[in-house]
Amino acid sequence: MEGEKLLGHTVLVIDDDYELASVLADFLQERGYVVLVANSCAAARKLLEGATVSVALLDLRLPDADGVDFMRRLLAHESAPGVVVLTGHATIDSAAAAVEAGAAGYLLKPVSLDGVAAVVERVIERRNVIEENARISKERAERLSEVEALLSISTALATTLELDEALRRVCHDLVRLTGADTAAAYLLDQQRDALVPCAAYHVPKQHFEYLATSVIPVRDAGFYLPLWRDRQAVYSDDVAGDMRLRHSLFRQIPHQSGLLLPLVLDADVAGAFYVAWWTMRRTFTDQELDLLKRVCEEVTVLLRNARLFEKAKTYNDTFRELVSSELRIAHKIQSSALPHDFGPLTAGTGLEVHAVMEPAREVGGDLYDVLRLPGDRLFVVLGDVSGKGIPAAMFMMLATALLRAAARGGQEASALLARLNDELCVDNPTSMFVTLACAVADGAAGTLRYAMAGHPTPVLLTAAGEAHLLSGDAGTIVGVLPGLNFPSATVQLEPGDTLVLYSDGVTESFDPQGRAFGEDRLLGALAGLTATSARAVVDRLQDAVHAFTAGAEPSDDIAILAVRRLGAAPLVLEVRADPHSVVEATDRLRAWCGAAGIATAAAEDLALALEEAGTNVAVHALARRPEATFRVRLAQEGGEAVLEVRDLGAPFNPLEAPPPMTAPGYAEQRVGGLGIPLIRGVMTRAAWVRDGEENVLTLARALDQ
Amino acid sequence: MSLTIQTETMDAERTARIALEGRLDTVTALELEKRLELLLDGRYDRLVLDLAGLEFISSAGIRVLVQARKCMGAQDGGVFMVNARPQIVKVFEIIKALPGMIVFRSDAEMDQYLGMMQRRVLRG
Repeated sequence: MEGEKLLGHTVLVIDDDYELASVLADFLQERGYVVLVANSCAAARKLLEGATVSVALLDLRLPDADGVDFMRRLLAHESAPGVVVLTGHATIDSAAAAVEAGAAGYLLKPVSLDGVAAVVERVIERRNVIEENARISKERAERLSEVEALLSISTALATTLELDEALRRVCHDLVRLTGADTAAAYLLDQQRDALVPCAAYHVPKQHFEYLATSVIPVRDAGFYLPLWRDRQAVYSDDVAGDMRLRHSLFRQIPHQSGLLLPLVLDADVAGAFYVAWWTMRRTFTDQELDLLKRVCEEVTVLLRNARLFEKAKTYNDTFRELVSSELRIAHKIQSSALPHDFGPLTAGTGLEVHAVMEPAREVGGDLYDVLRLPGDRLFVVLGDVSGKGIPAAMFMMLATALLRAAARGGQEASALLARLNDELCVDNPTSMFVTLACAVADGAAGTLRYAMAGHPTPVLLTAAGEAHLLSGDAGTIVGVLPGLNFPSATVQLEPGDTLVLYSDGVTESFDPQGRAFGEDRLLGALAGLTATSARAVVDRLQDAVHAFTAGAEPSDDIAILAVRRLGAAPLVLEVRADPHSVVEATDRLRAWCGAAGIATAAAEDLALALEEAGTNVAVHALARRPEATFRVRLAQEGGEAVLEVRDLGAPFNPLEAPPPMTAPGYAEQRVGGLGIPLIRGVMTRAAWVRDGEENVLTLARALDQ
Repeated sequence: MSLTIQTETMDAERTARIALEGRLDTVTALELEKRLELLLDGRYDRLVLDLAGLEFISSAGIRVLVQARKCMGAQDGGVFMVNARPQIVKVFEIIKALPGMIVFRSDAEMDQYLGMMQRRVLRG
């Protein structure tokens, strides 16, 4: 063993044999030890209070205490010396007992000096080894806790995108890692050109307000500029006296030591941590600073990610806004392309049209169109483009434009579809397709020629309220294969009949239980609807679908188009011979005229004629008998509205009444006198016959005036 | 449909003004007849009928108006109709104009006529 290792160690000799003690003391001193001598336990205790002893040579037989007992108590202390027990031959058992009790060794009296030297050396050596181990262990433990701290910080940064939360955890870990009292995190606010506090750990309540609101200006002279210039950590164990840290922040909250760590992102300071110790003077080894620098690098990664995430979110929001506004614009374009005002289109054709389209998404792929053709005929079409959204809408608009061009060319329905098909097949890279049903209607003749392209079968609703599907081949879809033929057929529309076109979004509407609306419900919704308008038909069907789906999300666009031949089944009334019944009959007449599409002026003329004729019949032919009735029939025939009044009363020809007088006194004309000139004045034809037991008055009003 | 009758009297001018709205048919003519009986107690020489709201008139209604005319004072009295709709004008034209029952196209036209009548009276 090297002599140096022994130097400085203190040996305490505890023996009441003064001579022996002194010999041992001299001997050991020569060997380089510092020696203390005690002759009793009490004395030994006193000496131990004042000095750090490495080895104690203890005589078991001491005057004032049991040696083993004393030793036990001694060993119980921290930094107790190694105890070597001195004992005489006679008490070898006690020596063994002492060793068992923790003695480092024993020597038998009389002791040999060499033996003493050897034992002492050995004990000291062992103590050194133990100390060394302890130190190594402590170091290892420290390093372990460093690693733990780093791992904890990494995890914190990896598991949270919330920047403030992550920074707070880093502050916490920094405090733990460095044994500090408090830490705060700052981020650079470029607009304010300052570091703004974002998170902190363990800030005392009384300082919190100040810390939370104090911002460190970047250009402030009292702030350490090399932080920005050199991007290095700055620390001081005497903050108050440190000229570099002059900013009021460092003075306002007094602290002994401080450590300022820069966060460097892309070679620029993006923030900093400040760690403080209230009272401790803290210095840092290069190793520690290195470790802390690595912590800051980890945080910088988080900062970068947070910034990128923020940017991505903004882009995402902007993009969404763009898409949604694009969809809104597309919806406007598309809905303005679909006709909504049908009156002008159909006036004078003897037909009326109404249509609706409800898109499933903001932009729909269903289409309909109404076109006026030469000869006062009407072209109607309803179609469904494959897919939804903007691509479907654009394809739909293309198809509509092509259809219009072809229809204006005067082609008939089937040829129209063939032409459209060929044109759409030409440039269709996405292979979109469309199903269509179209028709050309002649309101005067009542003929309707229709053609089908893979579309749901149209429904015919008669004036009497019977609804049935049209017969015929459904045909195939348009836009996929060129050169196809499309089946067509003709159907006769009587006055008041309505043809209903619809898209499969109607029949394939689902209720909350997942059932489809279907053809049966479609027919059911329309059946029984009579004497009405195209609009009423569309409304009825639309309402039925809405009621069925009961608010469930629509899966497909819904389109409905109704084309109706104006007119109605003849009105037949049985009217009682009293003024109220006559007036009521004129109301029914007006309603019928509205449904039949007869102009108001003509309807009012007819109403007047009916009132005058009815009153005449009631008064003269039926003599106002309470239970008597007369019959009225009104029909639209060959450009006229023909009004027939029949009664079973006494023979009476109202048309024979004398013509009006213009001289005064004409007011004394018998009752009913005024009525006849009025009837003749508003009707274009008037005739009376007696048919068996019936008076038959036939009046007609031309409808083209 | 019913008939709405709104009355306005101008005693100084011995004129009653009635606005009719709705239909004057064989049923509502009876209502008008009753109202006029109450109103026209001899105080008025002139009955002005504002027909802006009248949609329909039949012989029954005309008969009531003719009876009303008889209640108006002689000479420059009468029943004047203003603001009649085309359908109503057509009916009057079929019946032909009667003295003292004049259909004016507007209040302005009526005032013009009355002004002319006034001057005639003044000139003697």
